[in-house]
Amino acid sequence: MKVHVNGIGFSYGKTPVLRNVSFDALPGQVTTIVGPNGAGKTTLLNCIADLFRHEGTVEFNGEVMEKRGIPKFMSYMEQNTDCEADLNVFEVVLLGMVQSLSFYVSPEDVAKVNDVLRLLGISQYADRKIGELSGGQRQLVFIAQALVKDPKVLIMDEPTSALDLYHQFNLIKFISKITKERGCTTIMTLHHLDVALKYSDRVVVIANNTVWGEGTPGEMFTESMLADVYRMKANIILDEKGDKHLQVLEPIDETNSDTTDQCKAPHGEEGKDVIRSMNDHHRPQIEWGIANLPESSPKRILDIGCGGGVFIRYMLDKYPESVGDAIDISETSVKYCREFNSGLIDDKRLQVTLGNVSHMPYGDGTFDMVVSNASYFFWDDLGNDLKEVARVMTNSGILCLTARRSIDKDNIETMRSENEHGMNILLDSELMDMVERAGFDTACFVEPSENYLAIIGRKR
Amino acid sequence: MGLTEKKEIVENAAGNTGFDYNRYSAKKYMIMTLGLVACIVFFFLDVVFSSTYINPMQIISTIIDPDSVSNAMKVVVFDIKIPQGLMALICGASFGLAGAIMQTMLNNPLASPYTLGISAGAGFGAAFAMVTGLGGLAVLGSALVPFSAFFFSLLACGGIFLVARIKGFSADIMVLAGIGLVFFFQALQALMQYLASPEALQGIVFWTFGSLQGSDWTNVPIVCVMFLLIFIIIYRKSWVLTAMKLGDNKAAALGIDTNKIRKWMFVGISLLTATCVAFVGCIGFIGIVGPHVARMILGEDQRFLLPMSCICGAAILTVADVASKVIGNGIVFPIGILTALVGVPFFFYLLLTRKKKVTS
Repeated sequence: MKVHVNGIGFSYGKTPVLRNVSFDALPGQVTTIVGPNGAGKTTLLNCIADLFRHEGTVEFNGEVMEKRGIPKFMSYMEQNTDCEADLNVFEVVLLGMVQSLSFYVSPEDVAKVNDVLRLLGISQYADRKIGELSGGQRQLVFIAQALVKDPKVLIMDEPTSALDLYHQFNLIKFISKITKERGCTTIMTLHHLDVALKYSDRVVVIANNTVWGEGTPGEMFTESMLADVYRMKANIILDEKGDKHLQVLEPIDETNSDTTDQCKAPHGEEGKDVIRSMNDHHRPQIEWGIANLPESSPKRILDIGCGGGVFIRYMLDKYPESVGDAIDISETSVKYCREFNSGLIDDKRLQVTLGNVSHMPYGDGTFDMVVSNASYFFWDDLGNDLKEVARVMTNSGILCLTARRSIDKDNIETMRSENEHGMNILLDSELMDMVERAGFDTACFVEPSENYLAIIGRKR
Repeated sequence: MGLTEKKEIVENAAGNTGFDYNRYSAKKYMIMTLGLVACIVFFFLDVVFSSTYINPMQIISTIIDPDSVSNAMKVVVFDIKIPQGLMALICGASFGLAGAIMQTMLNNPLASPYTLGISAGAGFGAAFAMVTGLGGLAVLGSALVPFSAFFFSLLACGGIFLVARIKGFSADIMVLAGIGLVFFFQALQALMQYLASPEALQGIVFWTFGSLQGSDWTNVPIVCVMFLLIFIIIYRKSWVLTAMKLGDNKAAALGIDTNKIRKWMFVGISLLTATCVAFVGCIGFIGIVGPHVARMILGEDQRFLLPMSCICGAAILTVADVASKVIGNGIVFPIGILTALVGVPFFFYLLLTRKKKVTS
């Protein structure tokens, strides 16, 4: 049963908890909702299950439920597994079918309960009181309760919160299997991102009370998502099979926010401020830099490390015949750039892509002009990255690297010794050499009073 | 060696077939049947034993062959003792049922039929009738006090209903509103006692102890019909009530409109309790302990718990009635005092000998 969530909004009093949340969940797929504490995940599930009165609609196979409350085709499992009732496990699971139970429990219903207990490996607890079980065991019981009526739509709020690592993986794997076998539509929230990455078919990221992004786990689980949404430094590692794995490093220090990190990959609310200010104060050096470029219109321009998108806008203004691409490693920048240049995007003159300069998603010889402002400082492997730039360029294509220099022969040693972040601290001549080695003929322009630098290269 | 192996295999096979729910249920049905038989026995004892010096054998022969005894004896047995015994059974069952529902719907093991102010309302109503005579309503005669008690207990429930209608039928709101009303009506009752003449005061105090002695063939059928009606209506919802024991959120997640259920359960047991209290007064303890005993024996599945609460309530009240006649040596002890004196030791016995904790 297809679930179409359309413009859900919810407020506690005047405090908005959800704004305009829309996504689809499809049969046979596990749709996982992830996001930090307080993002509104549980509220969203409550709205989908119609336990809360909300704005927007939820359609099941195109129909909006008229009657309030949980419909018969849906199972909802809440996060809390506390239960003191004097009922045994069998009875608790049996209650999963409370909407259809007759007074006398039929042999079919008894068999259904026994089957699901066996599936979850908790048959041995059948006659134990629910209150006597551990939190993890109770969680399995309530999962059994949710599954016993064979729902078409299965909604689970943190089904693994009380489980150990083994059971977390095993259980979600099991739910994923059941979802595919029975073709049910499973929507759940998960805090354990490794599990979500491994077993989800779709991921909806909720942050700041709305949908931050939606896509496959591969699309959603990025370093910038973790920085932006979870305030965590993390590495996404690709194994030899091409599967993504998550390596979570440490929280981003909020109190002593790292300016270099923010400049490299702006994230969160603070990141937006950084982007906004970069868009403003980069204007003079960009204006000066592009004056050094040829007048003839290139066909396709790329801006690497586009930030808030001011450079590519200047470029497409200067060359009205051209189309452009912009790429940045920061999700926040990409979003900002798209909003900032929405007119150009609507006119199909600009595409903004999330990506890393070290392996750009463009074919060989795609661009006849590549620009980049104040970005090469942060490139991880500058020499090879410049070669990657050369790869995506046509022969005789123009490369324009601009920056505001603060480096000269007198201070370079001090700067290098204080360079904790592995930034590329280079003299003009060193940078020119690297560009040359990557396959360009170069020229260097300097604006002495403001210390602007432009290195113009032509691909050999 | 071979035998042991075979036994293990058989045991494993039994384990694989899962939990034998039918056997588990059959055991509960059996226990309920035993309880029912016990109630009939207690009823019989209740009829046979008297506070006065009537020989039990004489009563038995009256029942077996009514024509062989005097008219006075017939009246004693058929118009006094049997109605009183039936009243003990039905009111005990009603209090047991009302207590079980109240504990379930408020999700509170301490709840009783009186938690939400029914007894306070009835107490004031009775006192008010005794003190003022209710002017123009004096034509009601002996029905005056029950009528007033019934009216005011329903008035108290109406107050809670109104508050809950505005704020929602959540357990918290209902308990808070109930506590407020209990204090309000207790204050009014105290005022009545303050204003009462010594005779009326004695009547009020005696009424609050509760008594089965007003039972006759007018009020027993009323209580009986009310009990059957409410029991049937409530019993149809036993699965839903069982689910509510998991907590409101879990019940809602199972598709149950908990506030709606609570509303109608409240209306049902208010009517039932008010009817009983009007005729027998505020007999305490049964409504709180009856369901607990039933729960300890049969667990929380309300298909079993509700009838068993009725059985336990009926049994406790009937036994207490027997005791009130036997130990009084010519005087009938107030039944409300006896229910606690008889029930509490038994309750403690269960509490102490039962391995598992008593849970809400």
